[in-house]
Amino acid sequence: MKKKAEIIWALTFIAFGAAFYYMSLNLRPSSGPDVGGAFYPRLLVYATLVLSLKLLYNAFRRDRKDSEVLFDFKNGGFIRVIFVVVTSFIYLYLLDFIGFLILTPIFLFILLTIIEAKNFAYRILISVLTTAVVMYVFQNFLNVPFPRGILS
Amino acid sequence: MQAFVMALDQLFNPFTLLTLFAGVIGGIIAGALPGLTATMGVAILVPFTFGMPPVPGILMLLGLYAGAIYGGSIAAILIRTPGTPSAAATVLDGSPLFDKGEGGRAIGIATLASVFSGIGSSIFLVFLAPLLSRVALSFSAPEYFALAVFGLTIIASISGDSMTKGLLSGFFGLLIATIGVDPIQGYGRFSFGTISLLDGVAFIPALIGLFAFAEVLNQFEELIEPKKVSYSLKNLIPSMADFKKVIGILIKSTFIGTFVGALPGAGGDIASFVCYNEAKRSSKHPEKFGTGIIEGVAAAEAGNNSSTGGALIPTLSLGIPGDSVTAVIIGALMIQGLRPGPLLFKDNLDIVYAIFMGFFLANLFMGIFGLMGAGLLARIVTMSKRVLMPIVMILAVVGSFAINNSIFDIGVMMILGVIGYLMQKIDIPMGPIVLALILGPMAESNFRRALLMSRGSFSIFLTRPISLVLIALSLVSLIGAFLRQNKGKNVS
Repeated sequence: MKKKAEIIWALTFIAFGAAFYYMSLNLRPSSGPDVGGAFYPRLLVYATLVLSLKLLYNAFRRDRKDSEVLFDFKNGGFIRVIFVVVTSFIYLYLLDFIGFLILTPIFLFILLTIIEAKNFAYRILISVLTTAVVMYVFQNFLNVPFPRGILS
Repeated sequence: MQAFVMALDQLFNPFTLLTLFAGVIGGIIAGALPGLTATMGVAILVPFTFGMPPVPGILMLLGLYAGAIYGGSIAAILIRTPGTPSAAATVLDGSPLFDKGEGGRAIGIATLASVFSGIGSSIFLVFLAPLLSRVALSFSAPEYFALAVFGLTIIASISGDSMTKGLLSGFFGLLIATIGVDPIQGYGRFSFGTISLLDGVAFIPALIGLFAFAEVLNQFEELIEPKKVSYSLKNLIPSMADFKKVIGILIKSTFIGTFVGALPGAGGDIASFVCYNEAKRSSKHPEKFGTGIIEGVAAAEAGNNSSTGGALIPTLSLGIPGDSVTAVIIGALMIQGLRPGPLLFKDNLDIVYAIFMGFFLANLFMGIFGLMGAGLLARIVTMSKRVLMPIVMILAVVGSFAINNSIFDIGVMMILGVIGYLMQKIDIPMGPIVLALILGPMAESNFRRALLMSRGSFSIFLTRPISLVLIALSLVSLIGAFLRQNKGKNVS
């Protein structure tokens, strides 16, 4: 699987570099002795492209079997990661609408359930306590205004 | 003298000492828990320091740094798993010592080595950082550009077997660092059509993503439960005979570790292996290394803790991070309105002195807590840490938000976390990205300023002696790394 993953990463880096190159086309040209805003980033893009091609070349020279397992599908490890990532982005999306105080304990409870932490009551206790402590410290000592969402 | 008195005043007040204490204890615990690294701990803690005055805030981070690098040895000895990557070399002799029933003795030696080398490296820091900063006072744009390039090429030479991956990681970081305002012309660029990116990618959320979110995802995937081991902690206080046995190694490793730590990008993990290998090479009985001898533990632990003071030398005097943790500390200093580099020594000498003395104290506290709390730490190491990961996740979310009170920054943290998780799958190192995020803006702005100075002539980088030497060193380190890698391939 590593060979495939390396090929995908090499192509991703190439696409990333290409995006920067494309965006650099719209930048103002150099003025006077200044080389302009596009010169240095383009140097980085060229270097990224050369290195990505090297990674691609190295990947193709790898063993054909490519048997190294990168993601734990067998024990459900990778599925857990997907769950965590999806839940996190849903949390991020809803945070402004629903608010930190209501959404965070729910998010924490889901994470604790995914990671199979002890029993139901323990998960609820940890979710509520953590949210309360974090909110108290950041709001009172660091003056962080959390999104209030539907409570505002 | 006035700065010294002011520094004493800032350091010896209850709040500062309490934060230093808390940092060291938190660091030892974080370091002792596999999965929580020093970089992760410092990145998570940075947001807590925003509301504090600079000295207690920075000392809390430095306490955590020193504590975590030491704490890593406890897990390495007790459960054969390094608590932090820099304790990997400690496993080699620490674990066999534990198997022989000498876990207490191994922890005692690890503590002695960590404190000795930590204090030793802080002495180097006190003498070398001001000297270096005085040299750097004469630096102008071409020298700073050359310095940044030198820092970045070191990444290549320490990237181990895959220079390509190390460099790709570095260039990825450099490209990300170009997002935002053009340093000379002052307009926004590479914002991917988003207004929120016009100010660039916020450094702290990016770090939290790469070092905390990515690691949390790893832990969710693996769900490792620590082995339950029975342990006895006899002979925790090193005997005179043991002390005599290791003192030579401690002194040598402190020198080597400080030097390796001072190289940009080379942190405790590399320093401890270099010191371990050197102790083995120069030993009268190298075959005994790896079978459970205290010399091995002493070399590894002196190596990683001396690298902390070493890493702080270029960090404070030049603004070039010595490793990932000090890169975060540079970010924290900047948030406090302090710019690491020669001007810090000129304008804020009291803060610099307070940092020096505080770092010395942190290493002292570390030894006291380490020996007093060894039993408790052993219990913590063998406890399940499942519940910790979701809590780290919330701290990562809140910490990213707290920098600019921006939900967008939480998104940046999460996206970079996922990228970091996927990069680690093919062994792309994270360290170069962080170094590049710090060094990138410095490289570009000084590159362009230098060209403005020379009216567009590139020869300016080669006609100024310091710049020429640094660029020559960069080339040597790149070519050296390339040759080493090819030689390694031929041998294999």
